[in-house]
Amino acid sequence: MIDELELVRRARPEVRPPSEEARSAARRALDGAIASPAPPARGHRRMLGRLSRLAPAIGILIVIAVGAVFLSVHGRKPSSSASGGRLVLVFRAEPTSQVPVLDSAAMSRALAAMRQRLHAVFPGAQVSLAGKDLIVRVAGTNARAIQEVGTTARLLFYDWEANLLLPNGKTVASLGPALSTNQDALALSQGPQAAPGSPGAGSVNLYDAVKLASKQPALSDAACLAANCARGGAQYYIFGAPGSTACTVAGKALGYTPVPGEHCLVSGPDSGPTALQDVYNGIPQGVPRSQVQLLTVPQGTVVLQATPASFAHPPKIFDPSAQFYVLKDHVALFGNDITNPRQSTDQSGAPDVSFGFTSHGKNAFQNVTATISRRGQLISGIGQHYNQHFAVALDQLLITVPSIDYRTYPDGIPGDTGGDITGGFTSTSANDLAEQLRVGALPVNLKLISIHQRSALTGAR
Amino acid sequence: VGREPLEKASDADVIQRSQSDPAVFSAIFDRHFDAVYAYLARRIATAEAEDLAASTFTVAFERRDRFRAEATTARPWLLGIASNLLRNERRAEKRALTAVGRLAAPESAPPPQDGIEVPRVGAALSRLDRDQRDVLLLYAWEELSYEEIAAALEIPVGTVRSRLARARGRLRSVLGEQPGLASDTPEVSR
Repeated sequence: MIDELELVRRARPEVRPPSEEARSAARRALDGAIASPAPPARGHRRMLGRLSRLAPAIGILIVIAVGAVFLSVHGRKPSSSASGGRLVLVFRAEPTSQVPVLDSAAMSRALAAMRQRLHAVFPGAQVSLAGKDLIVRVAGTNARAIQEVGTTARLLFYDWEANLLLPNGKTVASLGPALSTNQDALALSQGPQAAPGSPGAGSVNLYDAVKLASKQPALSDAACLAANCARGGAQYYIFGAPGSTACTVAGKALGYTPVPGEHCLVSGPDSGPTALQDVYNGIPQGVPRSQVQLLTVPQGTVVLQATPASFAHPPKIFDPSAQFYVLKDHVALFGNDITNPRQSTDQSGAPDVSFGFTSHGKNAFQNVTATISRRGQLISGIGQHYNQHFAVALDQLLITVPSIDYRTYPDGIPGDTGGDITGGFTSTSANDLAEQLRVGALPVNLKLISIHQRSALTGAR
Repeated sequence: VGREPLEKASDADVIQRSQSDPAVFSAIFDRHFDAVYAYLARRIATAEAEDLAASTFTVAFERRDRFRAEATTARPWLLGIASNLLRNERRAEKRALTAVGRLAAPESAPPPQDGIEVPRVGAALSRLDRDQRDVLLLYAWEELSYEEIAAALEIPVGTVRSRLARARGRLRSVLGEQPGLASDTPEVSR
């Protein structure tokens, strides 16, 4: 008979010592913590208490301010490249409504997410944790690229038709059975020309989307809380007039070719406490102020970019080819309601993405899919089946808009066995999406607080 | 005046000094980084182990006021912090443990013992409850005493004993399908 402890002892893996690089990076992280120790616990608790009293809207607002960065959308002047040196960026984690306390578990998840995201683009990047700061070290590259790649995005689930706005500002679902007689609604919901949520299924260009969004009433903070808004506060965009010098200059600065006769994005979107100041500061040098127009998307409304053909390279928001939808910002589930997203295969063996739900997520998912299913049943007539949809978005980018078959799931889809996202995936793209869902499932805000560069020759900062 | 040089000071003394002179905490890093990294690298992949090892010391620095001055060495305390950080890496750990046979150096890989091979043990470890696994691996791999494990994980010694017993029972049950261990072996408690 064998002692199982002896078996475990024998299974103890031999590991190599840590690399000098890893040791140095860890030492620098500790040095950083020693140099800037965390504030005393008393003050920290007071700050958290204040945040919690000010309601989740503040957390949401902070998250979206950063989340927008992920989409590479800003009209900021491009950062200078740091060729030949080493960039050190420090991101500070901030609490959100979903993660009000930044304990070691939350910071560890933030660290893993940052590393995962950065390594996909900058394999040599080193990421370490110093208290509430994530320190990124990478050999000479563009600081803005690091910021865009490294900043955490948020995963959001919407009831598609219940939130999707028609050109008249009403939701598609508000039409009820009359959906079948409204061509705009049919295109948006059933997408006969293209899959719902993709470009061409009733989508519009950015200016038209923001214009429509800007006409919607602003929700009060209380109403937004009750509706589960993803974003607190307004979001600002600045557009250039069609054919203007503003568009020419902005196009050169941001790297796009303006379309004659169409407005162009000059700066934004920006949201957060300093958003208005930020959006004006983001106007590229040389853009005549007389040729630009500020549009404000009020709290309670969102502009989402259509599902991209490639998740690896979605069109940038200022790209004239990008298409958009306008929705009420009523989120059914957040990313932290799902667990373990992974690449899988469907019954036919085709790649898909599967995931599980938390206990709250299970209930929320069944409830929203039941609502969607009942609506599909309600508006469908004899021989006409108008399945309804829910949408999954990563910040402002739609990932997928799957349908709920009301005949198969009249009472919604139970969340017990998790969910699957199917449709046209390759193994790589399914894996990419699973990775995005994993990263997007982290509702922690990471704010870039400092960038410095170390000379490759002298080590000087 | 009268203090020992830093290099001769005990861990407890170094941590005590670091309350007024934070920079001396680096000595704790120098003494224990390799051990903490090795513990983590046995349980998860190298890249994650490097990051968590770094995190362990920044967390330890922030919580140094919670270090028990009567402890002779900071290693159990640091391994406890590392264990807590590992809890966020459960999936990564399960992958690594399942592949634990591959982590072992070929020349040091033990021969199958009565038919039970190392990878099979790794897979069985991955099926343990995480609390039981922490206790078992701190005991069997890191050779901490019950008291050190209790201090590291901030649990009573009795809980260490019961978790270890349950872990062993579970291992027997999982490995019992293999020749060499009877599935009806009674649970061992110490």
